[in-house]
Amino acid sequence: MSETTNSVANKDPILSVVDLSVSLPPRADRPFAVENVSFDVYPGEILCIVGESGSGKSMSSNAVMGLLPKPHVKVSSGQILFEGQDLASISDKQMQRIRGSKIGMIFQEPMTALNPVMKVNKQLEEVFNSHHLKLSRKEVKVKIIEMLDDVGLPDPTIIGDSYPFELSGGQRQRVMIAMALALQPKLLIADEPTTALDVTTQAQILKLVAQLQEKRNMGVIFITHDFGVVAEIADRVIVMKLGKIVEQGTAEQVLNRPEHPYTKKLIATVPSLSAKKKAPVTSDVVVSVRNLFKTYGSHKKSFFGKVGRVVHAAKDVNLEIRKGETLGLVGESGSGKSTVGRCIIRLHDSDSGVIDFQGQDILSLSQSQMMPLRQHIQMIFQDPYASLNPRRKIGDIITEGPTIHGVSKAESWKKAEELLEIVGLDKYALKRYPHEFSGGQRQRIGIARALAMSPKLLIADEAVSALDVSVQAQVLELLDEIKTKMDLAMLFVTHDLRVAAQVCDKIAVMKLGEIVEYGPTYDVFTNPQHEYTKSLLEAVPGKDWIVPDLVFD
Amino acid sequence: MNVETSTNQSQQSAFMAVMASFWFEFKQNKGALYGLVFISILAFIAIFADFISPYDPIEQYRDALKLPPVWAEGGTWTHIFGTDALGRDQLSRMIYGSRYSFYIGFIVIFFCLTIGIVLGLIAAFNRGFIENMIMRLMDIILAFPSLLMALALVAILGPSLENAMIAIAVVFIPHFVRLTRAQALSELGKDYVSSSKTMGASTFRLMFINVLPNCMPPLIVQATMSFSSAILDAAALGFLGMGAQPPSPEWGTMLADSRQYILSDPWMMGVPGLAILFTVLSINLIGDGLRDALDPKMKTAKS
Repeated sequence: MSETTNSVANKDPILSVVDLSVSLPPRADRPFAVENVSFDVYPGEILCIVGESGSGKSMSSNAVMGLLPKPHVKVSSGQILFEGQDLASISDKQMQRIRGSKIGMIFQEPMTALNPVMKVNKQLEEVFNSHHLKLSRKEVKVKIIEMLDDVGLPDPTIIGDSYPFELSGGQRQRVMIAMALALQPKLLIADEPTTALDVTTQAQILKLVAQLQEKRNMGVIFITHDFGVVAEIADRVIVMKLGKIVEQGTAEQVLNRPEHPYTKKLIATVPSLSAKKKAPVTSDVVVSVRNLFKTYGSHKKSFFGKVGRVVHAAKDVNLEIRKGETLGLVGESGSGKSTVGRCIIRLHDSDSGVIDFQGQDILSLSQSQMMPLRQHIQMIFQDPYASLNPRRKIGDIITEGPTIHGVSKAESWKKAEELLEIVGLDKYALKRYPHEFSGGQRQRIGIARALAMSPKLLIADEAVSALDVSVQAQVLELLDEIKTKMDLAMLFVTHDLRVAAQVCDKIAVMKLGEIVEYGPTYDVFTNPQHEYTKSLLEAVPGKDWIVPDLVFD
Repeated sequence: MNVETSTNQSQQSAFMAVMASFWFEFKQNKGALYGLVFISILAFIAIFADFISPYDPIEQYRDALKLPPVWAEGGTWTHIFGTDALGRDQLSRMIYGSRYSFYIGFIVIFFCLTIGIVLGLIAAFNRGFIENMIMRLMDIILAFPSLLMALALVAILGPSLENAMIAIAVVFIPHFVRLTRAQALSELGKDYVSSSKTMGASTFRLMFINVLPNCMPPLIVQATMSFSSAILDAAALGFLGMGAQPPSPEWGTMLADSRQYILSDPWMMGVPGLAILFTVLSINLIGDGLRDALDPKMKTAKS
């Protein structure tokens, strides 16, 4: 939310999209991916397009770039005016000249957007070569170093000489940005560029985009689903729903005084970063983990004499969860948070330590001794698409566990019906296959499956990370309801501090396999002790934006 | 709570919809459609051979030796495809021969699928020693030229159609083991398997109820492709005298019988040769179509 907002009005837009419609093939779920969309982008501003998945936000930017999957999806009416040309009606050849040189684009997956077998230098060189600029090799080299330096990469010569797999996700995204900006485009389109990144890296990339945009006075279209990111960098905001623009305005207006009910609903579901002070839970301890160690890789030499790399996924981890309590295990990717969850449920074998589950050390039990305990510990998985067997009916999926433990078919079937009702689905779902359900519905089915075993401890491994924000709010509400009703202990593994602030009683912050901070949520969020916790909280996008209390009419 | 609406379509129609979309995809591939038509006709002929065939396939008509087919000079309508050196009716032999082709194909595929799937799943579920033993054994089998290996096996077991089929199955099994293992490994990484494990599902249950159905599409494609290779290899073994024994009207054996007349009466080899060609081609085309329909991610990959 910068002061440029007010001055944009008297400049000419670099891009104006007028009444754009993009049609979908006849058998799609709706006739238009994008319908009668109009917006302008001015130089020196960041325009955020927000919406949930399927809202048409990526389709509108792909239309601008001429990247629609033709011939099935095409611009059916409207204009895309850029420098006096209508991009919707020019030939592919002309479009190619504009792409890259006048309009740059960065994508969500830095891993797939770079060619894995080509050094960074070479890929950047390609950008120059493909646009027939009359530059000598030497000039190009100098330019490349300059560009890599511009995007804040520490050793441009070394980075230039590396392959993409040798770089971290953040570095790759920086290389992508360098490539997109190589030819000084006037407009940059960024399609969820930070979604695949860790929160601290995300903060750096967002800062970089804002810096470069200001320096070069570019217009930026930034597509995201995350209102935190919007609050962090947007000058103006467009909210899309099912291919239509429902609201458009300055960031300040849209975020704090939304007009349209859909925007209001979306903003109301954004979890606030401020944790409420909760009374400590003093009931019985359900599980306590003491001195848990787990490493991946081995010290042994392999057949060819290579020494394996050892990664500590859990290093002296201690924690306990009480009845009716939710413990949040937060950290960035590779911190070992999921591993700890999977060690507790014995999906991974631990190296050493004690996991005391109601007086029994789980780690010392054999697989068959573990059997009766299995039903007490259940898990909800991250990816609702991979966690349900695509070839089995929902009923079979939910009743699998109870049948294994000797409950009769009829009885478990009846219970499954009740459970579906609890998670908000109707009982006809039992006879259908997973692909017939949306992501949120599948996650509900996953929850029902876990509950079918009447567990005492529920491990939610990034259970809401793959869901749209409004669906996420519903699933979180459901989890909370279930926890209270059934008096469950819950281990909530997440990378999202906003979600953690809302659902957890206690928080454990993990970094490289170690718990660096452990305490009641309120204390951790208001008065973090460890440097790492501080930097994590600092990096949360839109941390200064206080989610408004909205009145619904 | 915003409960998403559900359409109350019955299970039956859901299944029909899946089949309809499968058929729609399959139909896109015209070659596969032609292949299917040809194989359907062949299957019809094989099943009703007793009624269609004009003569007994092994009866010798001594007064009509090496009769050319009807379109060649001197051919007659009494023996449409002519007769062979012993005066047996070629058309009847071709008709009965189609039975052998299907018989070989189905038996070989049955053994390959069952043994290949079981070994592949065992390898995937027991990483380490057992897996290495199974996979290295398969590598050894693959290291031999397949026909040579089959020949050696038949030489040990003795020449007969049944032994030839066993030999061919052994040679093909490694492909199925590898494919099953690779598929199962990628499925094992998915969370629905983890979930079943947390329920306490047994290994047997994980293998056959959870993982196997998700590995089937590429296996079906592989089975189709191997069906034609089996027919081809059986014909080759027959040609070398190691497969079906005379007088059975197997196409490969027929080729072998007529080899010495290739210069004087080329049609005697031409008829069974073309039959093998078209059968194998049709099945491969069907395999391509199946792959496109069942396994979209393999569309551009080579077989």
